[in-house]
Amino acid sequence: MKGLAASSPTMARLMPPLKLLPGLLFLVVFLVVPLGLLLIMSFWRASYGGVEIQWTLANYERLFSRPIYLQLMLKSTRIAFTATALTILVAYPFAYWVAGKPPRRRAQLVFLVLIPFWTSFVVRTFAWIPLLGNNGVINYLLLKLGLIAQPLDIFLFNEFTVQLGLLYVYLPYAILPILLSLERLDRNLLYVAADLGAGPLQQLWRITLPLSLPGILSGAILVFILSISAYVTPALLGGASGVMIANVIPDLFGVGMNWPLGATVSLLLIVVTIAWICLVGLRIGLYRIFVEA
Amino acid sequence: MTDQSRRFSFLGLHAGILLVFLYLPILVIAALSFHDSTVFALPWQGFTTRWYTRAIANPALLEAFEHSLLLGIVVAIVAMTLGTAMALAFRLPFWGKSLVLVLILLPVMTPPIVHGVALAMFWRLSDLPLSLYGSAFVGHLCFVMPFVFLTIFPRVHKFDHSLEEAAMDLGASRSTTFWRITFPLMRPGIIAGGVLAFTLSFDEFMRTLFLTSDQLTLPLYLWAMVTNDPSPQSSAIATLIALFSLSCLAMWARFASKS
Repeated sequence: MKGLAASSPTMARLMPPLKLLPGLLFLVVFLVVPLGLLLIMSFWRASYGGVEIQWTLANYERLFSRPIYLQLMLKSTRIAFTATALTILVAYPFAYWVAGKPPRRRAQLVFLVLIPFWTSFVVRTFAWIPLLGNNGVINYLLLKLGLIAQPLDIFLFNEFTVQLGLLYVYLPYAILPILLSLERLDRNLLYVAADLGAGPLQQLWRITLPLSLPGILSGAILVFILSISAYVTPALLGGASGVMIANVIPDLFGVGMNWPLGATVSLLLIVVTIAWICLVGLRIGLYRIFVEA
Repeated sequence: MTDQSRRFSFLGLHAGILLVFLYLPILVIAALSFHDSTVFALPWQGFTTRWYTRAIANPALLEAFEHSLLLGIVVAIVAMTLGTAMALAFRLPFWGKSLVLVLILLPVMTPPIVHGVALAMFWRLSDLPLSLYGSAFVGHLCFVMPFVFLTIFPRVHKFDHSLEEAAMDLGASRSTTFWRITFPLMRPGIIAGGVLAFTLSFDEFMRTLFLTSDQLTLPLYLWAMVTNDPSPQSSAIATLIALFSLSCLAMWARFASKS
């Protein structure tokens, strides 16, 4: 925050400007208050078709006594972590390659990455079924080539498919911030390093990677949050073994109807998310991660 | 071959594979939208355009499209206004700025499903009926706000303040300075923010699932279709959406290159 919050001469200028009020008020009323409500509700008792304002720790007891929620949370964390690491590993070399192109070419390539983004998210995820399914394109080709005698059902409806689907839909969320931070990198630093005898790997490790860290971290935060709370991807591609935590939440608020327990499970999801943001983000600061990248 | 060029060819190969990976599902969807079969599967049964004629003649789809379009436009306009005001405010130093920034970024850091559930509970406990242009609109607006702010803010942050000071020195009033100097300089950022807000709202799924009533948006309609009765019609619809977005984008690119 240095530089932004430069010291100001008068007290009047220290007051938050009025122009902020409508936006901030909106966010407080429709995001902070509902999240607070969720927290309060997690201490209420479920009643038939709703909630009863009666303070209890029963929901938390249930969270720990019935291992399904914690197990699902653990599994979702694992899937999201793998998907995030995979996404960054795939996105970085690509962003690095794009950053080395002349500006016009770069814009075209960014455009190329974004086009799939502008078709429906739901259908883009669903598209993997006709690709990977028993009667899908891959099995069809493998059968035609004589490589297999029976269609393989290992491609679809498991954890791997979920990770693939997450990688697919969230890749641009990692490519763009990494590219932005690489574009801002002063290439002269690399020339100097080369002059001083640093090899390509050393340049990458000592200069390029550290200076593009804000981009990597903002990608890691976005992809992780979206992956750990993924609903559509596991629902369409995960099958029984690919279920994630978000897939059980709607039932608690709908058919199964246990709002307080639903609130507690949602809070668990938030706690893991916050832990990740702290782990990844706080060392270099959210301002550098989001505003600069 | 120098070391440098070989390294770059590996990167090029990686980039090529990545682009194939990005486009393969899209191409499969586009191809299957012409498939003369009721299921999403090979072998190929023949060519047909009936999924397109059905999609175009589908009144529920058209209604969902209208909902998404209108909601996206309203969300974009309001978000541009609020985002511009907040970006302008952020030029000044003030107390609690980093806290305010965290608050503005909070929608990005809240898992979409938690936001959807929390707002839905808020609505029900307030005894308000869920609706597309009420609760779903509010959810969308919260969601797009940080993106719009982050698009507009660098514009305001970077430009030369002496231009505004010069205008005031020459006798321009505050509002003249704003409309003649500040606003035109911000405009590309504001428009980009609006386009982004529309795009995000148009394809928003998770919050809408919890926040709308029986009025469906396009993503919800496609979800219902894909989970209940996955026929190639959904791939025809997806192809039409892609064509629609691309033509909007082409129009925007043209407009942007002119101004």
